[in-house]
Amino acid sequence: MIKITKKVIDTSAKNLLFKLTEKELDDTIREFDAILSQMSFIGHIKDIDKAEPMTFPIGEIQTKMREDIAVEPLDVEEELKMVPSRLGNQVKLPKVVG
Amino acid sequence: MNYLDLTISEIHQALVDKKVTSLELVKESIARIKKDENNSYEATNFEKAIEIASKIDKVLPEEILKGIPYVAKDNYSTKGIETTASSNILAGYVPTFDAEVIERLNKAGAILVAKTTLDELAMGGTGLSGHKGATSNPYDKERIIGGSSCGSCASVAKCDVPFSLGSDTGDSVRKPAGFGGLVGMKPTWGRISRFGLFPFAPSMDTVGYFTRSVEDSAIITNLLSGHDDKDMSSSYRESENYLEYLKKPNEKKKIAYFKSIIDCIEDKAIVDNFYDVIKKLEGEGYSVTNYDFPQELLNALYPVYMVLSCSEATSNDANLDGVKFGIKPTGKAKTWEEYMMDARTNGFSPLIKRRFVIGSFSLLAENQEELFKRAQKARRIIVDEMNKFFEKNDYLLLPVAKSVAPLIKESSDKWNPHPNFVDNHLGLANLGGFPSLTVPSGYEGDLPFGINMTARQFEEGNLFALGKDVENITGLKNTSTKKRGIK
Repeated sequence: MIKITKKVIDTSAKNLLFKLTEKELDDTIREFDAILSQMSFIGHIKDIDKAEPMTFPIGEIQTKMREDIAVEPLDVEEELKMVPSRLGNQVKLPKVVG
Repeated sequence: MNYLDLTISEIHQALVDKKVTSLELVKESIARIKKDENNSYEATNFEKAIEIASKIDKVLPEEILKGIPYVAKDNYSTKGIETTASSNILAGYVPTFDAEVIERLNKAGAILVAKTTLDELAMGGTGLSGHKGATSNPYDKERIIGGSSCGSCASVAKCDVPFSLGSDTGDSVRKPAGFGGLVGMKPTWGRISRFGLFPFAPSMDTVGYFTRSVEDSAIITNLLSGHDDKDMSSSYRESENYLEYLKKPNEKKKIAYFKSIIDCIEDKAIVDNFYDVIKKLEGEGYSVTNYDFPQELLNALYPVYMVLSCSEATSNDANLDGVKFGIKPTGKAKTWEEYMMDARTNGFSPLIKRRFVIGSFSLLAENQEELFKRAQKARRIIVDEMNKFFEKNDYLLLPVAKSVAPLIKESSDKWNPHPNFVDNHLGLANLGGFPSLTVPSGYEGDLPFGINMTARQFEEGNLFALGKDVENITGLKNTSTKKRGIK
């Protein structure tokens, strides 16, 4: 496992596309100490590494193809009522680059 | 007495008998919501609610929810109503569709009056981390009501409405229900569609609800349960008429508890109350025994839940980037990365950012085996042990919490390094997808506390039957601050 340092936490935050202040970095490091301490309890479980990982609590999830039924789309005017900014009959997105 | 102070079934009868109108109920609900002093609400739907109520001139006996006002946690999509999940990142977001459960309630004639506060993005257990600040307990404003479904719980506890929608990933309905003297229900994972519920940790998330009686909880379950094609995790099993279970003696009578948890509770009133309820249940023909749940599995509950939920949340909330919906950065970004960085840095609170970092760290290729996968493996062992428990027993019965609602100044969502199974045992039901119900069981001074019961998957009916028996034993039906005389 990667050693937890300020640099690792900072890089992790940047990969998640947000910045942490110095205080937030310190708080996160402190919280990691608690997490790793907690994770050590999992290590005490007998035969932990032989267990099959559990993703969902119910094994009966079924995926079926839905019937191809045509439905009315949302009315354009109704949809535009809900957006903060419009241009003609289109949703105006914020300028992202430049 | 005001009709809004009654249970759903009592209000329904009054509507059928024309003793009260839906419009009167909605207007009273709005008046009470306007006086809210607990920070329970995010958004209101007053105009639309009055419009719908005005058109209701008759309620038939089979239209049990028609004309009845309710509120929903602000992590349910509601068409045309700003929905932020109490996070700045979603400020200004107005969904274009209703969540499946909102749609079912609409069709049944229930009237949405307001949206309620929550811990930001439902990722907390105190009710203190929403973007509008702390939500307090109507029984004592110095105390928490618990989270994450804080506003929904406070709203029903003070009779602003007779029921509300919450959501439950770790205990987010059932623990607040204990602190608010309410019935709080988390159904089997897959029993009720989550389409339109903002995901936190989808392998554990369920719809949940607060009511003031077990019968009312069964009424809501009747309406909301059943398959929904729009949710791939929605079960194809037929749902049942859960009210029928309340009309006959409960056929399943084997209860067990974990003495190791009871022994860690220092609050004598809660422990005495628990053993008193057990004794009376035995008088009703139930058998009650201790079950020695392995201590190492109890100790692992908290880290397993936290690692899995943070990891799932990190992934789910990657779409909150300031472009598709919600907050719009004010700075002058030169690249799309800068734009999203600005939105996410300012849109999330420090608590949420910490949780995302923890989740992301657990999912890194170098760490995944030791953290995320290991937590998934532990989950399997814990759930296998619970399934062994259910081979011999029908229900797990435990106090909801080790104390009454804690003081706000003494509450925090920070991790602690010590074993913390007493505060986190309700998460067992989320790890295993089991249905779980909290009912009020007593008071310490004027502060309520509750008992929680968990059953096998899809055995909601028996759970309600046991809940009803506990309700009869304690006599605590339709409890509220109004009934208790608290202003």
